[in-house]
Amino acid sequence: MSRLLEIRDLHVYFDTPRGVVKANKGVNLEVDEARCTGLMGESGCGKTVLLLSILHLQQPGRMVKGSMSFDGRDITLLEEREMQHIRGRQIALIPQNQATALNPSYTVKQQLTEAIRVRREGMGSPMILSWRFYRPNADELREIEESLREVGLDNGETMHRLLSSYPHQLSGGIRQRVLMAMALLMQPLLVMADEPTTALDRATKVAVLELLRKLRQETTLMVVSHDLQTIRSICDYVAIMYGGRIVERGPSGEVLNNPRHPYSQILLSCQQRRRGEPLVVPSIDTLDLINPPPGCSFHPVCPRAMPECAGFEVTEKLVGNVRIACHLFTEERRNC
Amino acid sequence: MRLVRVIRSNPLVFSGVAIVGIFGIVAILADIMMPHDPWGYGQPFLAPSRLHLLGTNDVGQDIFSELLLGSRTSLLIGFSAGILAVVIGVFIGMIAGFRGGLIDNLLMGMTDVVLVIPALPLVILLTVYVRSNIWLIVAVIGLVSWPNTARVIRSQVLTIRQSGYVESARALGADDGWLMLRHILPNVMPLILAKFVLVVAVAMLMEASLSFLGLGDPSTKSWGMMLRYAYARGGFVRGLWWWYTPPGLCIGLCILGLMFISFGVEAKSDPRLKRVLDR
Repeated sequence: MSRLLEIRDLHVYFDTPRGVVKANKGVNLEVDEARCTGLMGESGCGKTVLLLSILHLQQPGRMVKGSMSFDGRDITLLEEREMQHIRGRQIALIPQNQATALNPSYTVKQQLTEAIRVRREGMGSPMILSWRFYRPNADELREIEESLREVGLDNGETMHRLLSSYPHQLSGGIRQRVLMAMALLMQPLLVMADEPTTALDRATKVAVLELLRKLRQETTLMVVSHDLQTIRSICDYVAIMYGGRIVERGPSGEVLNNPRHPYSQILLSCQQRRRGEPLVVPSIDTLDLINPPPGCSFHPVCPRAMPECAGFEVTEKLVGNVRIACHLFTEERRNC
Repeated sequence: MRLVRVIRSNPLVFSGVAIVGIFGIVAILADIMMPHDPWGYGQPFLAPSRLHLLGTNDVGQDIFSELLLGSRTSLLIGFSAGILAVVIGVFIGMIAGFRGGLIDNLLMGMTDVVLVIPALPLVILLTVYVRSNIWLIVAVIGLVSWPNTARVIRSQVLTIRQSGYVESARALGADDGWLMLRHILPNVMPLILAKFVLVVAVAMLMEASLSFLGLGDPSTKSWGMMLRYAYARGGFVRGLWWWYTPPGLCIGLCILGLMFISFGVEAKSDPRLKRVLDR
């Protein structure tokens, strides 16, 4: 199994009037080919920033430190021009907010045609000035319909109506699937889905999950979500983020069934809480990303904090198949 | 197709397009429709009759023919100046809004400078040095009326730039030119149209004012020139309403039509505004 994406010690900072927000500080992650990698964490933990940084779309944030390589090629310092070749055609992003991710001025058919044209001809072709730009030819139309069928929008007669609809005329679930079709039309090596099931109702969510599970067979997938069900049902590798750092990552079965990092334990217990059980809130809102606490960011609210947690930066330790960034496990190793 | 639907669905825009459309057809077909040569001399100060629908002026030129030919000059100046102003305004507004930062500051600073230049005095000043002709008027009106458009476009681009679909197009690999041309421009189109129509109206009014002041091109017939002669050669004093009313009415009607289009289009692009107008 070959390594598709490798992120080493990635730091992404945002300059704000109040100070420097450290959105990602030392993220390590590998994405293997034909695997589905899940990224889990609360709002504000840096999941989306990480995804956007892979595409160099983290502006106005800046990459301060670290390296990334994709498909054996170092993409850390690639020029904007070269990144444009990677975006879409090699790494496609299914954006977070399906409600705004489609251009309101174009029909579904026009936007999907755009995706095909970008893939085939790339930027800077005189094609973009042509009036016929958004008129697909027979082959392209067939490909568009094929892609829509692939994402489960195959209701024969209504295909024509769907193709000529504007985004506001569609429901959230259908928009989400159109966005997926768009990403698939780019035939990328890696598909990154940012919160694919958020803001969808239960039934639609199940359908989208089903679709992602099918997609997983065909391509490498990276899914960002704060929803346990989503991660559990499609991912084989899970990384849990807190305060701009991955605290625990490993095969999904091990991480989800037997979380070892105190934060993972609280996060997962929140999600699996049965009715009537007391709610344990991990209280990420109290975390100041501008002036993070020294040492491990989680120690001020960690139920198992120790004196050294505030004193030393944590590094990832391999425990079994799982990599954990916590002083508890540094201790264990030292004792061995 | 979509444009036709928008026009038909909105009575305000429909009536505006109808009014301006009729004037446009008249302007194009003036040569065929004129019953007399508007430059030919004849019997002066004739009252409206079958032969001369609106009578004749002080040198015996047929006023109705003058009116038809005058629509051409007025509309030509209006639309040319409008196109010039909107092209400059959209270009500057888009670049400023999309690029942001220093470029934005520089362009908007320039816009503010141009914004305070008064158009009418500038044209008056220029005509002292250069022989007045309609292209000079077009150039001046066009070059001073773009700042408003630029500012409005910039603010709209600022919000669109942040929108999800621009972000997702970028994630597809779109470059700046692509984003501006294919994603931002179509979404500011209604605004551009509304602003264009307003500039056309302003330009027509300005042409009329200049001509009335005697700064127009004396070798062309325009509604402003007709008003000027009616005023200077005693049309108002003698109460020859068929001489001074028609050009004024035409200017007013034409601008009303343009305003209808502008309001309708703007309301269409901003539903909140529509509610205010419906009240």
